[in-house]
Amino acid sequence: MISFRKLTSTFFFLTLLGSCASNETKPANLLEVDSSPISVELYHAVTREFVVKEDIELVFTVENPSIATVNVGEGNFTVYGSAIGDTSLTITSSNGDVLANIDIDVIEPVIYLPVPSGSLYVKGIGKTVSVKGVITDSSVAGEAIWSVSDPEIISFEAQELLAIFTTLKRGNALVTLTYGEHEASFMLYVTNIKGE
Amino acid sequence: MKKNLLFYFSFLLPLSGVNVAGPQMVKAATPNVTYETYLNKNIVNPTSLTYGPALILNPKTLNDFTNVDVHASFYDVILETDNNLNLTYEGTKYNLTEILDTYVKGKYVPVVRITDSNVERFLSWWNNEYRYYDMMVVSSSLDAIGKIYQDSNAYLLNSVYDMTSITLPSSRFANWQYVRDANKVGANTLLLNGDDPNISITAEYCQAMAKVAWAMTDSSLEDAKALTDGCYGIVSDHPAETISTLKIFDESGWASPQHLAAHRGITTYCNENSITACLAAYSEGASHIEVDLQVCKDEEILLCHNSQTNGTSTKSGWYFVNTTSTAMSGATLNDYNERYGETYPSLRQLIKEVMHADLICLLELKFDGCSDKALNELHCIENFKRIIDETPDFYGHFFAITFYAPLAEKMKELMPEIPLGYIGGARSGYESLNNLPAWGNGGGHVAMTEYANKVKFLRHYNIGLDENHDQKTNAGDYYCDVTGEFYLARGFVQNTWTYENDVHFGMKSMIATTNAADLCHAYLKDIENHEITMSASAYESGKLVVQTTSYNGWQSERECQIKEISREGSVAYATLYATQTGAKTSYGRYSKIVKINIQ
Repeated sequence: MISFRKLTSTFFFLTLLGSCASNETKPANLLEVDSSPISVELYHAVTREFVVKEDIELVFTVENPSIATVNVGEGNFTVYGSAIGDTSLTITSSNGDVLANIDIDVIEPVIYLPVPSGSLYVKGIGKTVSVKGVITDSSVAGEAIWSVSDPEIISFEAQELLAIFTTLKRGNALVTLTYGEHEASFMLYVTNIKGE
Repeated sequence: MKKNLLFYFSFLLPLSGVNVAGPQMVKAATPNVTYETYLNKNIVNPTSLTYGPALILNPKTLNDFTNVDVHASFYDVILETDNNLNLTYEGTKYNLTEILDTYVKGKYVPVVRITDSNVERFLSWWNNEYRYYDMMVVSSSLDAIGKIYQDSNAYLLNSVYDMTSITLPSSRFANWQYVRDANKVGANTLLLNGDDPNISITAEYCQAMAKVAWAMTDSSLEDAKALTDGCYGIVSDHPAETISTLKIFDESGWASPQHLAAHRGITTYCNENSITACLAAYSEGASHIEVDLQVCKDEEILLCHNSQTNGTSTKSGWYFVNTTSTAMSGATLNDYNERYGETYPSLRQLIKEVMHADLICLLELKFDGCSDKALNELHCIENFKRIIDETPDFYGHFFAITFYAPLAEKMKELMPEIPLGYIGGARSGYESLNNLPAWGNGGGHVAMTEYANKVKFLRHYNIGLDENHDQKTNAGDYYCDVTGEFYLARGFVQNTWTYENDVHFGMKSMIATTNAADLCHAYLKDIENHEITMSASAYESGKLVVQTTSYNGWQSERECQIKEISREGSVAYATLYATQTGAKTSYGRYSKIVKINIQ
């Protein structure tokens, strides 16, 4: 399940325990990673694993951080699509050797949900909200399926890409629309009259 | 085409305190005859529709003019002049003056055919011989129409762009080119071929862009189809049959859906004028969003109703014209809920987001109350154009509305292709600073019922009607209900604002700007019109259950009445009628024409 929250960091330093790399090891052989282009939907993320063969520091740099950002974890990195467009991710060692160069293509999500902030806040009980998804790629086949994480907070009725939600109780629930292999989601918060 | 030189200078002269209009009101030689009376006819509408249609006679004989029933129901008449401004009926030639005086004056609004070949002759005749004010022109030539509009006196003749020889496009926004080109030359009405298979797409788009679509029809079925396809005028050469056919629409309601413009987006659960609010409008079934524009110190344009931040965000007392857009991003919208974490969206962001959604934007040009600073220092309209030019595909997805004359004049100068709506006659900051009256170049604000002056005012600015609905006559009728037929017959559709409930469904308003768009999301919008096969007994019952769609797209089955238009043997053509009960207003809705095979 992918959230809509934006990642803010653009690159991280990774220091491994162990001996230094051999001076005779070629830079490209120090890192095992799938270097094929990454295609990631806007406001979604793709995670790839990597293996570092020696104890070296890695630097992850996205050429255009307004299009994508990267977050590095233990043996993996996650690319998040911030804006539609092309950029690239370069992985270098701390001494500047380029270990991998990966093209990143941030594409329009197959499912577009008109909830730009990723959340809706509705004051009060018994209120209704309509949300209408859009399938941006007509070649993608699927059936639209809506779900909510907590049916005690909101109920809904749906027809294909249109869902109408009714607030039942204060709280929050994750709303997900699945279409084929794709999904998109947003949070719906039921607040009190003050918005809390 | 050459323009009157004063047209170019008319925007400079107000700075010197000289009151000029544009196109320039130059006194030409006194014409032989001046007829300034505007016909205000009590029309016998053969339909019971809430709004429209205008009926335009396309006479074949002189008897068509004088037929009592025709005269009662038809407001306008097409006068097909030749190069010499003569008309021919049943082989006999008449001059235009004679036809006007004998058959038209006091009975119909004439719509005179002009061409590239006769437009100069027409202008000479109109300026020097017979200055007939309450007249329109129709032409397939945009150049000819443009010459009328650029004329210093004849500009007040509204015009009809004859597109009957054009094959209409099958996609909605492909119609922008026609609306654009017509608006540039001051034409508010598009005349379409009634048997074009795509007429409903063009007609709906005309409505959405505050224009009027007329259909030229040659059969009863086309008459009914024109209405249900979204045309607000029918040009008929078979008037008796047209009147008879239209009586089928004998219950109140809408032949095509009324448009809902979400005022500042959906504000029931979003911050006003936010991107969230705008996109929520799409989900809730609004066809339009109405948003307000301000210009910042760095000449960027942001969305906000007020000139300053009070009441809409966490900052107070920040004026847009005194603050950069970058600094404004430090303000968090909080009129509904601060937790959205939104700031004032930019026009660029709005453009980018609404291109996903099937929404037309009513962009209200506020710009600090059209202060001198916004207008002349921050070049609000120049920058408005600059930003939109960055995304040319956005053209056709918006039109503009304003309270302020200097902004209307700037739009006419820099973006003459953009339809513009008049919301009301406020005095701009610029006019106050220069001690000028509000809308002075056009004679100032006039009430809707000051018909003659209103037409002149609207023609001067090439602007349409988008006034508030609250005003009522002494009899308690809403003005727009009283004036609707008059303006529609002259190519001016009425849009109104701002509603807090659903009363607009009972009013003569094509686009209703409303705070209650989401409350109407479940209201009936469309009735399915697929070809149907049914038994004779079922058909005779006069009822049928079909799929209907609400404003937000929800589908449900409803029982509809079958209103037969024509029947030949086992094939009938009908419109299906259903009603919607609302909180304040109930209304009916007619389907597009349905073909029914009776077994």
